[in-house]
Amino acid sequence: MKVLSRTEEIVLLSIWKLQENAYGVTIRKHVSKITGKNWSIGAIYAPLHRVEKKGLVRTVKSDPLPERGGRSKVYYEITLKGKKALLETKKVHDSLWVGVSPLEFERE
Amino acid sequence: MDSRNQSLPRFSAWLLKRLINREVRYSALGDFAEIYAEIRDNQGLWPARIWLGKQMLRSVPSFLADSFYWSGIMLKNYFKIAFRNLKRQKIYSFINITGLSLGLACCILITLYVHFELSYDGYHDKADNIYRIIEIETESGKKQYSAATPAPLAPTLSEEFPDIVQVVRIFHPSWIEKWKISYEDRTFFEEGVFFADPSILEVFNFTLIHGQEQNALREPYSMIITKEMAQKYFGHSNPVGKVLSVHGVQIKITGITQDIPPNSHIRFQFLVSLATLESPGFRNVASDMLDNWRSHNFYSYLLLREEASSVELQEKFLPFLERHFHRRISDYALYLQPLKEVHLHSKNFSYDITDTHSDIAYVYIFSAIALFVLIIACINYMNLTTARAANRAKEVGTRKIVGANRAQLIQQFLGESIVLLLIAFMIAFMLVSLALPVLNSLAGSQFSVDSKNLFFILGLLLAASLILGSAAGIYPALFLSTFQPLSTLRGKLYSGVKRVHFRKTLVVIQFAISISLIIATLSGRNQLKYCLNRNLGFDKENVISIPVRDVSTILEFGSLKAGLLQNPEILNVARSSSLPGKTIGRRGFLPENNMWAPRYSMFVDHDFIPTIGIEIKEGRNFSREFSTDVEDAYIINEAAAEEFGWDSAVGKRLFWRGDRNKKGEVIGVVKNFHYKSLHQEIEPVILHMLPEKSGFSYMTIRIRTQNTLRLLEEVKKSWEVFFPGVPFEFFFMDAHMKRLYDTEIRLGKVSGIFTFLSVIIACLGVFGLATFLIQQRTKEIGIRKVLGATASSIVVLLSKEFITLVVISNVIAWPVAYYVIHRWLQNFAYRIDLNIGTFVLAAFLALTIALISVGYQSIKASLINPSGALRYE
Repeated sequence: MKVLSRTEEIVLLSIWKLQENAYGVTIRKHVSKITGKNWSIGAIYAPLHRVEKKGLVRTVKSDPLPERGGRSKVYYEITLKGKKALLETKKVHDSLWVGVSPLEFERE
Repeated sequence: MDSRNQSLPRFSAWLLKRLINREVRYSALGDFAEIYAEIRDNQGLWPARIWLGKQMLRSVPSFLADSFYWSGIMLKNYFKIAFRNLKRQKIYSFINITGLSLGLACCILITLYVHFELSYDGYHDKADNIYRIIEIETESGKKQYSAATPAPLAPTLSEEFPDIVQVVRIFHPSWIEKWKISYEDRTFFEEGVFFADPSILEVFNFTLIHGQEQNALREPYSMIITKEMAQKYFGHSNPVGKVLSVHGVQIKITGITQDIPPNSHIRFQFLVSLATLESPGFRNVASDMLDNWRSHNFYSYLLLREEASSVELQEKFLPFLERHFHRRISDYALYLQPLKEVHLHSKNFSYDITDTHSDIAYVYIFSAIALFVLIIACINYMNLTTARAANRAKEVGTRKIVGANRAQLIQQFLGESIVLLLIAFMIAFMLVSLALPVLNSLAGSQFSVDSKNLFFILGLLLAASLILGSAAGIYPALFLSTFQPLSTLRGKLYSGVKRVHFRKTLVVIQFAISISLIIATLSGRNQLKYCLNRNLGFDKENVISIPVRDVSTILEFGSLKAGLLQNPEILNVARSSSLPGKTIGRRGFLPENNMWAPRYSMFVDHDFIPTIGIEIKEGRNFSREFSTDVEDAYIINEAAAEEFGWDSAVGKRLFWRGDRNKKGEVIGVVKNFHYKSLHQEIEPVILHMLPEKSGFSYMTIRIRTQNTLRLLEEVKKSWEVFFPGVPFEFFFMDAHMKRLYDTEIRLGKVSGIFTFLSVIIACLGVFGLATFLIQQRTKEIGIRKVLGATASSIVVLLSKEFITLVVISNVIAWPVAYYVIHRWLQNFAYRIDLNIGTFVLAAFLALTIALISVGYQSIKASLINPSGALRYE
């Protein structure tokens, strides 16, 4: 299993956090909030497209909604593979931090 | 809410649809619409629009990157498949890449050569307006071109014709091959001593590194030398102001130029001011030529006004010529030759400034070869690739079934060609850098890959690879992409015989080209052999010649000769003003009952004719017994006797310089001998006697010895006794005569190499075709074997087809080769007859090569196990 890239991890975790309400608009809002950076729609969809292709998420469509110009919301759900990938990535992170002497800013 | 109101502005929607990858388009567009609608409802239309604009701008890069990322995946797959195929089919990849890189390398080398030849003299800023004056003399209906003009011609022309802005006269006497140049205790014999008007620095781009351009060549006894010479004589110190002795005259250095670029036809090392020629020291060299209209010894260059037309100008010269020349003017004209044409269009000009001119014909020949080799390589590639189709058919079928369309398949196969070409390109580049020094030494040229033309070459190669890749790749791509998925998967592949015919045609063309090249190379070789072995009318073996460049040599000749003749291995020693194969002067002669005309003539002494072994046909040689021989005896050759209409020439009257008062008489006729290369017809030549103490140019020695080296050592010793400090130089007559064909020898070597390459490439082609045909006939062979055919009968069966192809190639190649060679042979006045044997030999060679290439494949095929071939039906 490959370790996820940082943006993929962020997007996956956001979807996991948002649970039933994870679709483009909310994911973007959440990611922007967490990272403190205004993500463009395009910037969200590039990693979304990738994780979807990799089979880490699947999509479910809602009924068509007028506020979306007659389109459905496309909800993203994490698959089992996605969950495993997240855990794997977390493990790598954790083991990376183990035994690292505390990072402190030294005054100079 | 009306759903239409919720949607995005139409233009934005249209644009986004195009930008966003199909797979996330639906979802992303929904997001855009939702947020847009929300902002519009809460904040109004304009903030929403501004948000949308900003958001689109920010999103575009990501969307584009996303699209490329996923199409890149497909590309990656194409590359992977391409490399996998290369690796799996090692022999084919090897053949393909070898063929292509050889073809490309050939092509690039030739392009470099052609580029170099065409670039001659183009680097002068005013090159387009500089012309060289060529004299055209019509003699008995035949035009004679000569580059040498009288010194007063150019300045007088410029006075009378306002179109002429500036004139440059250059004096570079061909009868002095080397000049004695010394500085302090160092003495060298140097070529490349030129005399010129000061205007040479303004008209041409010979820029000075040191010294002032305006004054450098104004004064007598001043000269410019090249950087190379400055370093040779003065090391790193600045030589401006120092004094060199040239031919015993002290001359001050007033400037240093950059070394002359290799693509200049004017190649001086020492450029002396023309005014120096009037000095007493050079009287014997230039004997008052500067105001003499009858002494044609200067090269004249004119700089015309930009708008002037050289053709119109040279027509206006006629009345001028009538006024200034004391000749029948209908026989005489001037032609203004553009500077850039000098190098390639000066064939057969006599008395030219250099003997290293090339010929535009060679540029054409080599361009044609380059094109041929390239075509052959391309054909090969197409053939091999389509021949491999069987291996790719299933892949094509599968790709089509899972949804690839034809355009994608074409893209894929074109891409593969280009990948292959790029690999070939890299190898070709290495080959070019390796081969250049070899080619340069063979071709006697000096072009190289350096920082100046590196990008030109790289660009050329890259462009060539891409063009070739597409050209050679397009047919296989189209061909492979037409496969019907169903039939390929079922194992059926080829429809009809049409494709096979196409392939065979390609191989026939290849072979025809190779056979033509082989015939051309062989015939060229035969002509060369003929040139080198023809009886020249004198005995060129065992003759040593010593060029005489020093006055002391002339005065002491008698004593040296006496000393040398003590040696029993030295048979004879002679003096002469010229030698066969060297420039021969023309002087005006008036034969009895004939017209006054300039004719070739040579000053010789009593011993010259026996020394070089010319046969006397009639009359006698010059003799010491007749003291009058020195003044008024002439020996002519057969051609002269014939032209003057003399059946028995001895006793006929002949006057030099039309001086009827002198008593001139022909005392002998010699058999024709070749005093020029075999390119030229033997023309009348008149030998007359060299006065005892006068100057001469060559000392010729006939030897008979077992040990030439030891003898040379002895000659050198005697030389050093008489002329201490004068370097001893010599050449062998036979080697010297061979040098007349340097161009042909080089051409032969170079075209030999390219012929060899083209044959190799053609072999690869046959190999590919054989593989293809045999693969197709696997089942047929299997059945034949089952029915009792022997392996050898199958080899014969398979090879027969190729023999037919080679025969057809020959039928095409022979007339073409005949025509080309016939044209080339017209360059020689004495030439071989085209020999059917050469043609047959070439055909035989081609056949052998073809059979060897086919042999491996057909033997392999004949040995197959029939059950294996038939199993899968």
